[in-house]
Amino acid sequence: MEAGLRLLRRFLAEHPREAAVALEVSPSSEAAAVLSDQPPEIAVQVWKQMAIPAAAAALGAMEVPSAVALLCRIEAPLAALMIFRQNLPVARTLTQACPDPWRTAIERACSAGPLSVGALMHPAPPALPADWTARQAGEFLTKHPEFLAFDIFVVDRSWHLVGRTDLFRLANSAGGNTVGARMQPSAPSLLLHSAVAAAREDALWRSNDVLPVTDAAGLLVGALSHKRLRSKEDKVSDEPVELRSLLIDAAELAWTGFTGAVDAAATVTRQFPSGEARS
Amino acid sequence: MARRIRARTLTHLLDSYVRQFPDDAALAATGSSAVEGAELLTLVAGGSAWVLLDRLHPSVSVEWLRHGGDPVLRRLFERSAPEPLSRLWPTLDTSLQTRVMNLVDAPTATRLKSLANTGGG
Repeated sequence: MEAGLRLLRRFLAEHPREAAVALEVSPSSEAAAVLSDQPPEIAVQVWKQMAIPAAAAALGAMEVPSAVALLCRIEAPLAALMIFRQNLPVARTLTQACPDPWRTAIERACSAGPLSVGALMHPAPPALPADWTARQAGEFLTKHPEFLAFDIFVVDRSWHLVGRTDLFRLANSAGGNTVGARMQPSAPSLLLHSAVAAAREDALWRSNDVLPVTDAAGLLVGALSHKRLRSKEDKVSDEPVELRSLLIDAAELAWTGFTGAVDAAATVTRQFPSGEARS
Repeated sequence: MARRIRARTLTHLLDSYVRQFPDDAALAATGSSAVEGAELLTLVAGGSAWVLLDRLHPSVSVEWLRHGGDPVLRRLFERSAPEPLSRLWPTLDTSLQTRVMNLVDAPTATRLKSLANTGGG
């Protein structure tokens, strides 16, 4: 297969976006094998272009050194997003395998975690790339029926939240063939660093059961249901020890790398008062 | 040890490459030896193989085909589109043409004979 592998490397190196789209439909273990077989500087260009669910799944299927080689070559917020979508043991392993200063940024962010939306949110919300076709979306949702319980958020290739959709909209071909053409092009969101107490009072809950959570740059980093918010209400206010545990066990990596991390968080807090939601 | 890439995955990705960037792929494949070229013909789907063969220098295409196994040749010629086939067939030497004729099914053989009778046009 040497000639085939050589040709494949040319494809990945010269057309990373198209290669990424082709890789997205492969099983994650296969995507991991392909990326691990390339020099990291080529692999990362492809990996960055993959839809985040597929990219994160491929990352989780890689051997640790290959995964770390990729993580250390992308922007910290995106790395955090990728880490955060892993199960906790994998997330911990990858984080600990990362060299400084990346790892330090994570630890610092974790220890500085406020009583925020990020501590309660679901870290892997159902989301589809806007440029996927409705058919691709349908195939993805067939493989991930757990997402059907939610509204589905729509993101661009950089994982910025651009809208939300649902099965009815996806099935309606009147608007166009892509997910982006079948979405509501505006999705009010909560901010990652908003205080839980303020988020609880947000008027958006009057018309939404689930809200997307974004970071300062508009990246979709999670989702929070009103039910979960209310269920944690008492514990949040009365049990700081449990909260601490929540931060570490459930959402410790939510801030990972919002590196620039602490500084960026401070800026966000100044620009968007706690609990403020954006459209 | 890292897992090896499965042939099926490689086929899928190479087909994607050839379909979207036929000239790039053909250029990248040009430096392959005859044995490697035959291997590529085995790896990619029939349509993609013809896209490559149609873009390579005829002498290179012929060498790739000559080194191809019987199953590959049968698959290629039985499922070929008329256009690239009509261009390539006259460039094959007699021994290779005979070999192909002995491999393919009757309808394909008839089609190839008609190409020979019309001088490849």
